[in-house]
Amino acid sequence: MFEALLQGFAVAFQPGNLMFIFLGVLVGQIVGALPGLGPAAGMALLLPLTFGLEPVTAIMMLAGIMYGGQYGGTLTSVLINVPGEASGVMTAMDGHAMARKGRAGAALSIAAIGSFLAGIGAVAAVAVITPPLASFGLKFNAPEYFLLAALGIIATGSLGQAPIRSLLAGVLGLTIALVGVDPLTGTPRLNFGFPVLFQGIDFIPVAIGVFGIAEVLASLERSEKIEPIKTRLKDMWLTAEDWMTCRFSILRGGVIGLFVGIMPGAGASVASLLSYLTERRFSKHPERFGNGAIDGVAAAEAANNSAAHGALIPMLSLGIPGSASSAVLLAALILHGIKPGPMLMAQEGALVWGLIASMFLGNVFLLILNLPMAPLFAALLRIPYTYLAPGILVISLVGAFAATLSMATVWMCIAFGILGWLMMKFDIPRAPLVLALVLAPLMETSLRQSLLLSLGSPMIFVERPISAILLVAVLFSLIAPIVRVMRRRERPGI
Amino acid sequence: MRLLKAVPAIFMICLALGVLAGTTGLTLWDGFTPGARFFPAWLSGVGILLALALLVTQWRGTDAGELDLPDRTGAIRVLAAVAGLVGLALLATQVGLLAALVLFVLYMLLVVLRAPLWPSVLTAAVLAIGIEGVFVRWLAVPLPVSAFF
Repeated sequence: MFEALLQGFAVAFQPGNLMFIFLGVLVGQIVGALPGLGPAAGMALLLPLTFGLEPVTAIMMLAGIMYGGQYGGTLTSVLINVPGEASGVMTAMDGHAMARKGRAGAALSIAAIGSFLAGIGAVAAVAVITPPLASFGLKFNAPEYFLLAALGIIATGSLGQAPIRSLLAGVLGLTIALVGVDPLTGTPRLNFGFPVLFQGIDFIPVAIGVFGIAEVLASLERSEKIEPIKTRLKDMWLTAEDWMTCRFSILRGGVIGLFVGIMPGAGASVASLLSYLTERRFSKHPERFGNGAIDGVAAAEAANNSAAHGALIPMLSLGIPGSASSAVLLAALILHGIKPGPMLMAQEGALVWGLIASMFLGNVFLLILNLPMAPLFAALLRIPYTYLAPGILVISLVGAFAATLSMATVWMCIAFGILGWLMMKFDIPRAPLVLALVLAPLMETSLRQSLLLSLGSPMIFVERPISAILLVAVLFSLIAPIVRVMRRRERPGI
Repeated sequence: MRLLKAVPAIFMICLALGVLAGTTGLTLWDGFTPGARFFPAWLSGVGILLALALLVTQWRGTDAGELDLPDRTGAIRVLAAVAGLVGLALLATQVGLLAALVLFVLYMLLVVLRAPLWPSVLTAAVLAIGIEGVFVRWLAVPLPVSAFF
């Protein structure tokens, strides 16, 4: 493993790669800091730009946006109380309270250090866990892949407050993927005679529309001017008491984040929430939480960054993304001609180990960007969003056009932007749609291959030990949340 | 409001029925092999079941989803932005994508967002130069050009 990791560092340290890792984390930092534009949107927007790059360079850069976004989101959470995305909500609660008390610098500082330490730990875990999991994945066949893909989509819904809505979004994603041709027989399907639909609906316009354009449309609804709290470099020093308070919070947050990140569908927001609640539960002073508890900030930030890295473990070892961002990364692999799955480590060792090594370097870059340079990035928040919104829209559309050189993609992008905005308004989560779109070909092909192998008998999913365990997990993830919602007591006032 | 809340479920039922109708010519099962309609048919069934489950939870008041509709100003801005995007896509093949983008940015800043003139012109110019530099010069993307020149 160490030899492979050293080779990975040799790849990551190549000047071109080093530059794109830095560019990736820098873009991630900026994207994360822009309210309403998360890492998945940033990755989707920049995905077409990577087509001119080597696959390994492209993946390193996109991954940099993914975890860089977690760092960047802290700025908006702490300084303007507007989380860049859901994973920053818990940070905003205590981080902004600290900022109002004149401790914005300390909040940003502990967030950066917590994210860094947890990130490095999580990358080490990725390096240790991914190879054996990939080897285990080699035992998988069509039934296991079908159930794993189903679990990836269903689990996203089972953890939230509105599981039926999440599952609906997943079904919508799978339905979008049906358009084009049947993956096994090549029979045209659901193209309704439109030539642009003969090849199916591409991932890029969906991701750019649903994440990028929809976010901008939603942000256009609000016109209030936000004034960020100022911070200076000298305010960023932490006291000895801060260190003592936060050391175990970072450790606990990192461990919780890693495990939540590995679970399909959970992601950084669940990780930060769980870590924050755990910290409050075990704190000697739980009353400080919500009023500026520095350990609350440390735990939440450590967890969300750790989860962002942890989500790469099932993605790299089994080809199953654990979050919306890792789904975009998986799509990037496919678009660069690389087949994800358990064979990825064996066939593309330089890419996988290069990516892992790049994440060590990227976290170091981010620590530098977020400690001495945090006030500089905070100044970015002073640029009125009015001037950024049209820019993000046009870059989205040009990026979509560049991916296929077809205006039809631009039209699709706009259509999916409207769909994404409507999903936001009707409280339908968008991540399951994108996850389902990526997993759909694997899911359909594996299901039909399984039934072909068993001559049509569904017992194949029960007879194989691994698939039987996965089937139980799928059924539990499917039934438990629906029963929970059905049994929920009627809410007053509705 | 209740009817509006039911829109996602109704949309999913219509979509599922559309998928069932759109795949009628395909085989569901071919000997021992599931056909091209197998997955769409199952998916439609699941979609309808989920949509009905959502309607039931909404009717019983146990659904945790909340509508987040914009106010009048917000709705006008979003509609204006969508109209601008559609206009951009229509104009791109006539005046060229880059020119259409510049017009779109100016429309958004000056008309929709009521930003001051000179910062808006500067923003449009910076974006045009950036897109020309990155997409056209660096990535050699052949953006659609004007049909008239």
